[in-house]
Amino acid sequence: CANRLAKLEKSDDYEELYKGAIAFYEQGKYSKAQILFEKISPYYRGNIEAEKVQFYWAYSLYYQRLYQLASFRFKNFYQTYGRSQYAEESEYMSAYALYKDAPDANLDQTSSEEAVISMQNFLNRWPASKYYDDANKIIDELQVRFETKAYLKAKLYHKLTTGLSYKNYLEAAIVTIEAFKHDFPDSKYNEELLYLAVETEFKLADNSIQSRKKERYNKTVAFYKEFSERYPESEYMSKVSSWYDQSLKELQELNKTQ
Amino acid sequence: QVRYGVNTAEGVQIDYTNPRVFEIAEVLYSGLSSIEERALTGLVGIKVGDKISIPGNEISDAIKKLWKQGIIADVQIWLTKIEGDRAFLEIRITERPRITKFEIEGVNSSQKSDLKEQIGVIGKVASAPLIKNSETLIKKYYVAKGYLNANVKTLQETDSVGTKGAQLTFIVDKMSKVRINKIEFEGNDSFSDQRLKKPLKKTNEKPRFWLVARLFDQIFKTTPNTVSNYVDSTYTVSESRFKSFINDNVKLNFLQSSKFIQAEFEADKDGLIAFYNTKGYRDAAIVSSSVTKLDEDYINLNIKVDEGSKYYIRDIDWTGNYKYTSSQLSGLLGIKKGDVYNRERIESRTSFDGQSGDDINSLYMDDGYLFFRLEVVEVRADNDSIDLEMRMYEGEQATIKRIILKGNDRTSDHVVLREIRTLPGQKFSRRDLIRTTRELAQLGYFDPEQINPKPIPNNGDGTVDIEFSLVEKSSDQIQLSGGFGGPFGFVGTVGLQLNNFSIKNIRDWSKWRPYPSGDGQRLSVQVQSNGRRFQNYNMTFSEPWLGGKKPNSFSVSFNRTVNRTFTDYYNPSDVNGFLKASGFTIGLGRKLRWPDDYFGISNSISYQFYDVFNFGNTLGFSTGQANSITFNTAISRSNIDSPQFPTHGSQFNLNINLTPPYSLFLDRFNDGGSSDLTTRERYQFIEYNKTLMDASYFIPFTKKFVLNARAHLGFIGSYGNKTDTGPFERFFLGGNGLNGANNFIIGQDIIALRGYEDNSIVPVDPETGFRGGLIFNKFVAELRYAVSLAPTSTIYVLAFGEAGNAWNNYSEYSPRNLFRSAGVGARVFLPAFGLLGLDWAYGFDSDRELGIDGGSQIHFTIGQQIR
Repeated sequence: CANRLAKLEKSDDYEELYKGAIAFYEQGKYSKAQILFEKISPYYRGNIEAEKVQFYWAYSLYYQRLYQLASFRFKNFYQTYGRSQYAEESEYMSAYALYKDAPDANLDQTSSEEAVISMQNFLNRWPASKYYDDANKIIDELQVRFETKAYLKAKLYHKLTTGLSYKNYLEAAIVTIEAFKHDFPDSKYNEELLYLAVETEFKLADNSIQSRKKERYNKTVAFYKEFSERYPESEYMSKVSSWYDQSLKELQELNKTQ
Repeated sequence: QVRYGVNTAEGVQIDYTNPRVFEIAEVLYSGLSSIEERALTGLVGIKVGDKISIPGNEISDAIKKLWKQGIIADVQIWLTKIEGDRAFLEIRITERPRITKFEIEGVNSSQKSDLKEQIGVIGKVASAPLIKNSETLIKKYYVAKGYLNANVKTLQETDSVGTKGAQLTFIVDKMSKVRINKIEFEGNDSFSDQRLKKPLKKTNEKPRFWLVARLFDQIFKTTPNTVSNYVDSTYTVSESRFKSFINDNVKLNFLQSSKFIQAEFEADKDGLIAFYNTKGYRDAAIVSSSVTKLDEDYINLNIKVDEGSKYYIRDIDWTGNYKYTSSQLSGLLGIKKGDVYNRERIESRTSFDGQSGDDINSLYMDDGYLFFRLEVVEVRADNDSIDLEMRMYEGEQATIKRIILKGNDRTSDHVVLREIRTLPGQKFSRRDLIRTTRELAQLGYFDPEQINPKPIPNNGDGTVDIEFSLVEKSSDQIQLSGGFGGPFGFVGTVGLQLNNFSIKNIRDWSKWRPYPSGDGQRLSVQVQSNGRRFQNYNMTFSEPWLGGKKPNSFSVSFNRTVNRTFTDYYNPSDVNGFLKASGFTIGLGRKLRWPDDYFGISNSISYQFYDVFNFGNTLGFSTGQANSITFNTAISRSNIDSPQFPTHGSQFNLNINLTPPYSLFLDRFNDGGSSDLTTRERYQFIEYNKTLMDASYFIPFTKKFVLNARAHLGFIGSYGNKTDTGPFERFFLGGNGLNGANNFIIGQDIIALRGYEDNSIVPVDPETGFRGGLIFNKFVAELRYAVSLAPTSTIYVLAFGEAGNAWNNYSEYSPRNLFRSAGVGARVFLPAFGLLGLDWAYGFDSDRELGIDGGSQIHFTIGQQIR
């Protein structure tokens, strides 16, 4: 079979090549099919077979998990053959390949962001599509992934506040938690992160030079108030309250000495 | 060529000022021969029943789409008939032969495949512009390589297979590469030709050495009259005349290319002007430059310059500075009134002056002033004097809000984020940003050239996000080698080092790409063997941040070595003796913050078990078992700037290995001393202590030219006088220092000393017969020159002198009695294989008595060697 590919690769008989490519594709030998599709695609430009060649080529890439390339080919397909019966599927697959390419939350989410945009474009263009629900689900899933990524980042900085250079990270953790709150106001993670903000701000105040202490204990109190208003039933309540009480006590002391 | 709805008698009159919407009643294709109609309908996108406006976008789009395919010679869309609001269209296509095959002749295969990728003509119509474009592309490709006279001709023939196909053959005649014979300057009164050639970095003359020819010339032309000139001491030769004589006749730049490449010459001309500018010639310009063709292979360059006059700084005025006073800023600037006007130096002192970071811009940028701007304006220029005004905008201090990572497709966020020094909540600092970039490069997971931090200010709230663009690269190394050596014959090595492993993901198949990666852990496995005679297995796992909170590294490794001897060398079934050793090591390392944060300390404990049967005296006994427990402490400091080609910084290592002092508390050492002990009792628990010290300094001359000075010392001792130091871990000097092919014996410390044979400098204890030194010293001075600093292949050449020796007795130790050598070599760093090196060295001090041979030696090395 490898010989067959080698023989075909040297051949200039495009009809033979076309048949070979389709055969490989139908047998599921996508890498071989892809090589031939790539070779014959310029020749078949403008012929009736071109549509099939382009579509199968895209799928050959997709099945090989070459998602970025597949997405590009699908996009190319629906832009060239907007009238094709496969245009809808192709546009969906272009976005779906990006989604498949998107890695876990702990890695770069550029693909995910592109996937969301192209899914949204797909939904706008094909509101009656049979893929409509799937597309919506994927968008929701990716939104959760962005949220998780930001949450993990905040948790990392918090974790580093318990490490060797913890003093460096106290402020970093608080700023990151606040940025999360700003970016994802409705997230379920806000309860835990706000609780960690109280803890971290208290620790920061505790480790501060005298002149900064007051401001930071005050901020601890502010974080506490926000927390107790938003999550009065929280399991973290008792811990948060104890930092609040201590902060108040420290503030009294500070006021006395001044 | 493209037209539609032309107002002729043939079609229907179209009112361009008043487009109307029609329903398409018919789309008729004409002129088709090889292209099928159905295929075109898809492209055209206009179907019967569509409602489109004529004239309108739909029709022009259709033409554009058809045209873009490059498969037709011409297309016209005609509106043939109108019935009410129903329109009849005819699409007239003119076909021409399309290219089914093309060849490039007269070039080598790698260039051919390069070009074939760039020339995409298959399936297109063989039109004159297409052919012309392809020819130009090929020609440009060769001009860029220095083939200025390259010629391309195109043959077109109809394909034998299909009747409609065309076949192109590009016939390339590269001609010879054009080189520069001489570069001449005109109008240069202040600088010599010689000096002006230096800024021309990529445009160089061909090497020449005409001195001998000139001398012959002189001798034959000498008349008695002129002889007196040479003899007469009053006939003085000025320095400049001597220089220009040498310049005319000698050019020894064999390493530089003398190819003439127009684009690089243009860049070099800018460089020449920049050179003038640094010397105060603000108005210097190149009047003209001309190329004189000498023959097919050589040209002369002539550059005419107008130097203009030399300018000096008369006054510097600061405006817009609120944070620092003008005199503070002037002091930092380091440029005074009366100095030569050097624009480049002013730019670097105000914007970015290298790593030192003591320029004006750094003063602000390292303190949060992200929006700081400084514009140097020449407010007045009279005769040779310039008045400068430093217009500053300090702006607000910006605080970092978010750290955004892009491009880490394999490496987890937390692995990168924990190394980043620019933390949310801190003031923006360019210095930290630069240091972070350097440290991310050192992780080895990303292409160092493409790490790009970008501050993105958030409007309004005085904060800034920093986005790090990263490009993953593989830092994994594969080792596949085989070699003949010593008593073992052929030995094969297979090794794999994964530098970005993730043990957490090992059970999740979907994360194997191709192995679980991204947590920055290290896993290496190595197997060496030549069959039954010798086998060695090694596995190491390490985690740089144990627990994820602190940069405490944890490592664990296992090893096993089996060594067999046979009664009959060629019959491996008959075992005569063996040595088997297995063991493990667990280590913990951490970074220190005191005395400074370049320090680190690591502790490890290792256990090794030896099982020996009839195997000579390597371990001090020929049959028996031995246990070794070692505690190791290593203190190190390193602030080198790059692991592959350090240009500045230093490295220091102190390594202490201790076994428990059994002889001090075990009874059997007390009664009668060690002489009464059987070797089995003596070596049941191996006892020694060992200290190693390494220091290495890098001193840069230029960015690519570096001196490395190193010193290495090692001592082995015993705890008391109840026992000797034993045969373990002794020092073997000489050769490439590889623990490989020539010597697989365990428990030896093999140290390179180029210019001598492998492991040849080995003192032998006359009493016990133990081989190897208890003390060693080695000193190295190495000059390195980087040929290529590309991350994909760092290459440097080096010249070195070194000296070392090993002694087996403290009373004989004399650090001035060393074996010296000198030589040259090269190192190539390939990401997949690590550092490969080849050295030639000459050892000066042979000692026939001890069997130490110096002389000319060639050494091959693999991997970064510490000592």
